[in-house]
Amino acid sequence: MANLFEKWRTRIPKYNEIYKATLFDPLSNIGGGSEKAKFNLGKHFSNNYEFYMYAFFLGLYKEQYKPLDKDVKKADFNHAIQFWGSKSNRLGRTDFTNLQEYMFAAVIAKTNIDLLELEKGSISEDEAVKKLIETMEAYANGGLMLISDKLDESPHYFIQAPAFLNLILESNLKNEAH
Amino acid sequence: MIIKELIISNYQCYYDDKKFEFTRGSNIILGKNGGGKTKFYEAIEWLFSSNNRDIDELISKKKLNLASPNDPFKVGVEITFEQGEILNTVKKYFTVQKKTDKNFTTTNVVYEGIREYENGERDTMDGAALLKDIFPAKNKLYCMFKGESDLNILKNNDALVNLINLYSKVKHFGPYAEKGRVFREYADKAIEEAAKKDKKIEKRYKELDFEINNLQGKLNDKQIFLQTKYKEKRTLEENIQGVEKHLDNAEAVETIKTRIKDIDEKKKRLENSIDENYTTALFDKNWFLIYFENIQKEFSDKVVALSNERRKQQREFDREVGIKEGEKRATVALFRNVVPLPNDIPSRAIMEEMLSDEICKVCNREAKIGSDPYNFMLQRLNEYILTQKPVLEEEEEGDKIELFKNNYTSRLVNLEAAIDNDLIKVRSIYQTIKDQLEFNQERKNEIDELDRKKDKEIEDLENIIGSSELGQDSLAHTFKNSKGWQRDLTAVNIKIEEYEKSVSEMRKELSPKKDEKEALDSKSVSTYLTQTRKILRDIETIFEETKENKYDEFVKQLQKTANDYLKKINVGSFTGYIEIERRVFNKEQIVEVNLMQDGEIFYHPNTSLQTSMHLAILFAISEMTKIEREECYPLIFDAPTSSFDPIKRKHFFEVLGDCNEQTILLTKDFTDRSENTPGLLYSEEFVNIKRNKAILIRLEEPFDDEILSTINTQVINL
Repeated sequence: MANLFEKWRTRIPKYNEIYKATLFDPLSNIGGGSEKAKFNLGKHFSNNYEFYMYAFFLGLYKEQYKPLDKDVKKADFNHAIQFWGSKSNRLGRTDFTNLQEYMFAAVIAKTNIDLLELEKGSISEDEAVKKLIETMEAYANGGLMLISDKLDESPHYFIQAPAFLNLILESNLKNEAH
Repeated sequence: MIIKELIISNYQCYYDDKKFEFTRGSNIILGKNGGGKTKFYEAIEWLFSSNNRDIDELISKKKLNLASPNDPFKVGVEITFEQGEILNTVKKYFTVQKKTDKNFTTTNVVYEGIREYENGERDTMDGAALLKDIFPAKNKLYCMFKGESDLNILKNNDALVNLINLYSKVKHFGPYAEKGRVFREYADKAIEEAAKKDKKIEKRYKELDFEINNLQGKLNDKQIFLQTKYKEKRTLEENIQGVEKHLDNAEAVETIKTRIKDIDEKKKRLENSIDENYTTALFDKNWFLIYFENIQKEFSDKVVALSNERRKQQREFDREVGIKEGEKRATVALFRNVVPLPNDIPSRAIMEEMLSDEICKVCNREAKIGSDPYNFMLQRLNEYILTQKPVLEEEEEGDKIELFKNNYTSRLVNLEAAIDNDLIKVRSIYQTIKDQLEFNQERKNEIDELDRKKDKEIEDLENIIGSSELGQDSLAHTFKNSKGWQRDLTAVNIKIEEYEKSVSEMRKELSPKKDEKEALDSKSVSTYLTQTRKILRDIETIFEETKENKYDEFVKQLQKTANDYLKKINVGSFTGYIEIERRVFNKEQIVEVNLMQDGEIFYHPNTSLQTSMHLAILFAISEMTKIEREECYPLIFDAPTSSFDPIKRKHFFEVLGDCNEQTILLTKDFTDRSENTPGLLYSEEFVNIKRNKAILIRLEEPFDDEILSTINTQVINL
């Protein structure tokens, strides 16, 4: 049996390079240092892909599907999706690799691929995975746009501890979970 | 004896001759600071002293300025004493001759004495000798007092003896007691010599002698230790009493500090319990999935539809192929030809389990071996197993055409099942987040409450420290010290008990030995000697006891009289008394003066109380001197009442007149002129103050502080 999930995981999604300086660098902190120190600096995310995951979920829940323009300059990460969440050597953190499956399920749900055609062989695996990644990038982009707007609106919003949590919780307005 | 007159001539701020006339009773000299009071006192001191150095400093600058050259003038002090009908005048002076404005010469200091009898006859005498005769130098200690600290005359151990020697008949008993002792010692020695000559008892005598000396030595040492311990005990008691008023505050401060420490600890615990790593929790605690249920439904629907459609297409495909190739590919069909489940669901293990138990565990129907349900399940399982076998090349019959080249669906279905299983976890995330936020908020509220409590405690702490004379560190110190002193006091008391017991035991041990020695004496030595010794012993005892009794009487009388004065000065306020204790130690007379209240020593009286105590003693001495010597000396005070409040002052001046034949007192009190009575040169309060004579001294105006030649003190009789 073939495994689309395994194939998808080997990819590295991209984002609009503009956001590198405005969002990724200030809000996430690549490199060493204890988790506590990073938090104190207002950097809630240990690295870039964490921030990307956040943007993805935000865009997903707020239904902000904003595909990347072909001409736009793109940036990416050092780690493929399959490494996201592996925290075995970080103090104070827990492994969250299971979230990969959920992201995969989300992009499967939201992408228009004729999976039967894929199974019949008329669509290549690469083509399918490409589309899945595009979906991921679109929602992430949507999330990034929302965050960027919020930062413009109130530059100090993200310094408080529950800022990012609140943003996710607010998205309930669109999704009636309960 | 009183001072009738005092003339100060060109002495410092006193330009030309300034005369002071005094009477019996109390004479009060009022003067503001810098007006000449201290110089007045110093002039008298100079007169009585034999110090004749630096006389140039004493010359009145104004006189030096205004004097014409070659016109000599005198600088000095003249005092006239009245003793009965006789007037004794002593002059001490030197002559100054101005040469130029900067140049002058001085002669040596000279004394002149004049005695004037009642009939008007005058005799000139050696001034220095006359002064020595009528006012011996030692008198100064008991007659002249500068400020309040001079008043404590009994603070030296030899003060009492000096006092007695100066003023009391009791001094005559001293030498007798001494003589008595000397004679008795002669007798002792004689007996010892005689006893030693007796060979029979010589050995035992020597032994006893040795033992007695040894013991006596140890006893003396022990008594010295004991005295040291008594002193220690007093110091500790004094210290403890000294901080007693602060102790309550010190304790309160410690209590509050402990409470604040508790609060801080609680706060720390609460702060540690708060977890605000919300963003991290999105990842580590999967809080991202809070709203995933809808997405999961979409995914689930899609995958289920996919799986269904796949199986449907597969079945149709298989059926077409089967029609072409016969029943080879025929698979087991379901009722109503509905689309079968994927052949790996349920899994092989589950299928085998159901077959083994002969029951369908999904619909709970029997499937006994050989029955239709059993066979259906068995065939299904076998078909699955077939698909798992690797296909061998020989089995291939021509080109097999497969509808589906890949099977992604299977894995997707697994994933769907797995996620579905975790749905319960996903559903609980909302509550988890809510609980965490609430928990954190409650802890924050508790912390705020603790902060409010802490602020209140700090406020209380500051109030206590503010109202106490000691700062926070001193109070902490006090608390610590006080505990230490209490411990030490307990230890010292134990030691004292031990030593006292030891001393008593040693005495008990010593006593029989002395008796034995005496017994030997009386056995071997002639009765004449022993009887003589007995008599001399008795005489010694009589003299000694008489002297001690007289001393005691003196001290008792002093104490009683002092307490009478103390009551008068402190009318209506302090209710305590003076206790003067005398004892002999190491042949020294030790005198302790204590202020007592409620039967206990009052260690830290305020200045005003202390001063009134010392004044009371002084007045008592003065009164007793009057009685004993039938002679009296004037008391001269410079500012003894600066610590007294107006009421105490008033009483003091009442007493002043009664206590002595003559007192002269300098003070800056009462010099503030009242606005209501501009004609009055002094304050209204002074109008009601009892006195026999009042004099005001002040600087003549205009004057310039910087220019000494403008300084001149006026003397005004009031």
